[in-house]
Amino acid sequence: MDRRVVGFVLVSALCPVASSAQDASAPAFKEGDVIGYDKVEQLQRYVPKEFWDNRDFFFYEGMKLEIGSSQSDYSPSTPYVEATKRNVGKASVGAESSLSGYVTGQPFPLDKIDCKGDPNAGAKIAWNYDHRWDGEGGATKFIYSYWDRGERLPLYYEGKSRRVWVSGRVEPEYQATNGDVFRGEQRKRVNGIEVEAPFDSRGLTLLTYRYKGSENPQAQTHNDDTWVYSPALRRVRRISSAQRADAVAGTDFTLDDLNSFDGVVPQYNWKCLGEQQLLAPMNSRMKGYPLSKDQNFGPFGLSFADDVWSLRDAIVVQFEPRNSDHPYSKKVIYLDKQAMEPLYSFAYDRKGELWKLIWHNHRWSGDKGFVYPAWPGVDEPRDIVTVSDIIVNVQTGTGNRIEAWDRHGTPFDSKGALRRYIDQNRLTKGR
Amino acid sequence: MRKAQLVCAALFAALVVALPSQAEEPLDVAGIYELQGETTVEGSPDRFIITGKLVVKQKGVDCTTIVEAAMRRAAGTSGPVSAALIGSGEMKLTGRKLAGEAELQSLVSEVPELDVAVPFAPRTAGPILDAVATGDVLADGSIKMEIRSTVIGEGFTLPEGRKTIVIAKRVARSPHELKKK
Repeated sequence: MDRRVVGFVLVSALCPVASSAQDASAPAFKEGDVIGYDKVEQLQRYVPKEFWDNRDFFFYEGMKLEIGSSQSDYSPSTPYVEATKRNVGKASVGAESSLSGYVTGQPFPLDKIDCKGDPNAGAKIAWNYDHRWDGEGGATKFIYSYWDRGERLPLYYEGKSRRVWVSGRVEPEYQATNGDVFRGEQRKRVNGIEVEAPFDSRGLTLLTYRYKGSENPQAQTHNDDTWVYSPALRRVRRISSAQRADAVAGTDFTLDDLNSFDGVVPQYNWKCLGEQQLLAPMNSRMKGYPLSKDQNFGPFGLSFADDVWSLRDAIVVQFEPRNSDHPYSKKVIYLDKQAMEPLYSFAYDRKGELWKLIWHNHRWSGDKGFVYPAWPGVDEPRDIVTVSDIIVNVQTGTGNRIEAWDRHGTPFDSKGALRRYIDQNRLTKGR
Repeated sequence: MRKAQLVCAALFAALVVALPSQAEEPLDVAGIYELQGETTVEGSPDRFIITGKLVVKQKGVDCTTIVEAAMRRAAGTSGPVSAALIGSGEMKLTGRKLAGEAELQSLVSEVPELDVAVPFAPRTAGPILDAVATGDVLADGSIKMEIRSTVIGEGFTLPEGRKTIVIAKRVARSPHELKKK
């Protein structure tokens, strides 16, 4: 027998770990492959375990999961990168994961964060995520649907939403004000939502201010303010919300679950868990709502398996709520390392059992057919935006799907238009 | 020989008959249930309709439960128009009887007139309820339960004579089971 063959046989017999470790480094798929239901086993090592354990919700006969490019560059826009360099070393993490000294750009350059050695690594990543490149914020039309073990429920909401960053802006025109759009700005960002359908909810409008003070330790925090115009009441109600994390029957998302995490960082203890290479739906080939309303989301209505997925480097963080009344005991979030966009997250109930699974689909601003115009100071938007969020309650089989395929972060044409949009008096004007 | 075989068979049959209680399996109650019911208050017009889900996980006669329900005011004027209830508990099965306890967090819209199911509208945590439930597994597998609740914590009270009756119908064995269309 050839000595090399004998050697190979001996090594294979004596070193099964070495050979399986070698297998682990090479995926069984390559760019351009289409993975059907019969081959989903190939994906197991490249999705989070919690996702794989619940794959019956997502993988189905007839799915065509296309492997996209793993080399795509989704790095943020040049002004954001320059702002990060300009302000390096200014931001710091204080008591209760609070943030101080932040100006603009990424607060803590990711390559300098020591995941295992720095006790503040989790908080730093959370702040990087919170202040990720987002253009002006994001404007879109949306549809919000409700699902129960594959049945689409009659309840739904359609409307418009817009998020506007009024601080931390990287355009050169805001350098003199350290990123503030208006001088002396106390707000961090503003969110607006207008419901247009169904008929009985048409006109429901919400406007929320999140303040810079929300980045302080909890004792000095500035809670969000929300104004709600209800057409049924024909008046505006003002709410100061400290708690945004309530889980509610009828909708599986909490306010803080949007984008996997939309909460206030200092309300949680953060931990960096490490890095993982994984597959996720990064740059959809779909047009989606409102451009196309006939997309296949699988038998449960909660799957992106019939789309393009890409192999990405993810960073994994975990939070535990400081508030003992919080319905979650912890949440594990997988973020794209380059774009800091959410890929997957997993929320656990108070008993420590997996409760909710959240995942997202994305589109890249540079793709042909995606309308995301440049604006003064930002020649190329370079923004990978979340176009759909899905949440699955793995204990009950219910879920929600938010679709928003036409989202963009191009700012208002003028400061006047922005000023009118973020003014709470807008809610009652013309009614 | 034949006689000996007959004796053995008779002895075996007698033994089987003599040990029925050891062989009795507890009822299989695990699964996802759809809840429907109402809360009434004795001597008051208040009436709340309850709909939602009950998840039962079972190990022998011991069960753990998860409740996710919405409560909407159908009559009366007290309290918000709707509230959500989430919680978990434990139950014990004795024959067809169920008895147990659950802790339920109530959640209400911060705009009391707004339904809790409206997305994006801020909600706030209401009182936590300690619920004591007793029930029966009906012939068709549904569970009928009577629930009496008390409030945990300060600042909230529940009226005397408040009673909730729900019927929970099993609709699936697991959350991965698609609804029949």
